[in-house]
Amino acid sequence: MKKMILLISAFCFLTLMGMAVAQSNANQNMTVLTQDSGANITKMNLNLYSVGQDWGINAFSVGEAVKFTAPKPDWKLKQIRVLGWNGFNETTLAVPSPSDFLIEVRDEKLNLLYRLADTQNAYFTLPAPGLIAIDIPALALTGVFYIIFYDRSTMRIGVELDNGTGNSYQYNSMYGELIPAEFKIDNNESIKVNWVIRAVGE
Amino acid sequence: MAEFSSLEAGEAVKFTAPKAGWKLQKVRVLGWSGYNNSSQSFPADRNIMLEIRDKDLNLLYKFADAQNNYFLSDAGPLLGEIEIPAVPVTGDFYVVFYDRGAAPIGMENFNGTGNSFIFINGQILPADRTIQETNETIKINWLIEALGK
Repeated sequence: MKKMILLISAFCFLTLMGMAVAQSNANQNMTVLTQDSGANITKMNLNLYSVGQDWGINAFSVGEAVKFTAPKPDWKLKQIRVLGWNGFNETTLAVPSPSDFLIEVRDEKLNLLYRLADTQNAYFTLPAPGLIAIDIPALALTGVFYIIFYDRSTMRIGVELDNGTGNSYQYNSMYGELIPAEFKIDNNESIKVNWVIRAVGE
Repeated sequence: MAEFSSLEAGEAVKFTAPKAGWKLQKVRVLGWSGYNNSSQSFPADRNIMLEIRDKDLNLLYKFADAQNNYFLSDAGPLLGEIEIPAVPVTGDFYVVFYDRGAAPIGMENFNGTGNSFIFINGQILPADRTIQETNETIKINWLIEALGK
């Protein structure tokens, strides 16, 4: 697999004041896997990001990917949580034109295991960015797996700017290529960032 | 290119798996979501749908997504590729593409192999066209490919 580092331009940062954290109704016994810092979302140093900022028309084929490890063999992934927002304007009540995002689950070798496309407005029409739960049919997983969220420039997802764990990537589906998720900061230095995507299961 | 205004109708092609337990992993469809040269704009997103069915037309897999993610081009029709989670198939199976008027599909007008159909309301009907001058019915082929290993 071709290795390259993507220096994600870190402009168009948004203020996340008043960010909503939508509560999911997940079974209390389920395990939540995180590959961000694990801090309370309201305390994170967050911004919003869309692949269109860096990929232009090729954004259709690029998604935000997070690598997880199942806590035990045949662990069942049942829900995916994504911090995101469609830009809903609460004052004018203007909802963006409906367009589909895409979620994929892939195994360690990037073989496709599950795929779901649905309209962004059904999940991410909120007064402010929120952590939204998307239920999926139970998917048995062992070892390393990836969750990939394609925002397709129709919405933005949360990115944690501190405490990069090295488990966030961009996935270019045209070439089956994982690219470390990094932001270029002022002094031309690159920092690892975390997509706020979580895996929930039991 | 062909499309059906009916949301229930899909273009179906019958394939035969080359070996038992063969895994279907990708489907390619010649299609196009259109492009307006005057305004240099693309159509709004609308969903197409893909189904995999076994020889008895039992549903094995279903996926819907916006057409522009596969068939967006300012240069005419292209072979759009839709990746699917591996679906094991044995013997005959069908790939059904529902264009829903959002992405007309490529159609070969001659040399029909008899493996292209219209799937509608649980029925599989031969895909053909009638030549007006001679009233002759000719089988056509949908340009759909199945890839796997």
